[in-house]
Amino acid sequence: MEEKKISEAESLAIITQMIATSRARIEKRTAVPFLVWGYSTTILSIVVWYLVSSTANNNWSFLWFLLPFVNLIILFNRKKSKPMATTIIDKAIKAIWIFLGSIGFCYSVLSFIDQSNSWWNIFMIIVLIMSIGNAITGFLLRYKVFWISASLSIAVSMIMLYVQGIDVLLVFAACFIIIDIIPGHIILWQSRRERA
Amino acid sequence: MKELDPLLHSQLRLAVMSILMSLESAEFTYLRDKTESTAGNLSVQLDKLEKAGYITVTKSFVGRKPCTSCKVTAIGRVAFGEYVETIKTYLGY
Repeated sequence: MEEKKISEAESLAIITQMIATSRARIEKRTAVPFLVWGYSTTILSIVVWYLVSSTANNNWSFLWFLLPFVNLIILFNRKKSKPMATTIIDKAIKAIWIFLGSIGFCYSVLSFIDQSNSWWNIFMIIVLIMSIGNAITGFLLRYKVFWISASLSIAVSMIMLYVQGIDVLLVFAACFIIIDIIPGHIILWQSRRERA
Repeated sequence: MKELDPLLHSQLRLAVMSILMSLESAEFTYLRDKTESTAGNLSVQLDKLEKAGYITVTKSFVGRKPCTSCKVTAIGRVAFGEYVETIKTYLGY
């Protein structure tokens, strides 16, 4: 793009085109963390469920502590590899997820320390926290799919009240498919379609 | 009719300001890619926008790589808003 004088109509076209370009990229950037967290949590839920139920050894649950590290490595490498642009909404979403993530992490650690009575309730709490985060993200990005998926996952998570023991993990995995994987793919698909 | 801001009424500077208006900040490489400009030309235009007080340019290092980050200022936001309003009157919106 050269530095040249333009007509009024051309300038309006440039403004519209540039704003649309940056929006398409924001949407794609938002989709990736959802997919990374969604797939890793779903896969790990099924792996832990299989290992604990087949060996009757609850120590396999310590595999959950891999989750933050796996995701941080993936997201950090992604951040390094691309030119960056940040929106105010990006910053707000990041702050909300750090806050909610910290609450979820604290609850997870506490439930590992005290495994006496309601240890499995942590999975329902995590789904509630994630659903709240998704709904807020959806309102900020004006994406219906986020708060629809958040409402659906809360409804599905109620099954956990009637499921006993390790099988809660299967409901948990289903919630993460609804809450992260499906919205992530929808955003990615919409972002690609807008670019085409 | 009000005159258009000559600093913004230029293809590359207007493209840069349009991008920055919808972002909190953007790196030099991001702006270069999106505007499909050359590094040299973009540097000159960023310098003009910075001298006018429309943007701030921050130079830092990410690891060993130099990183130039641009952000629109309050003055830049007002100037861009006025430019868009003037364009609308020119085009009869």
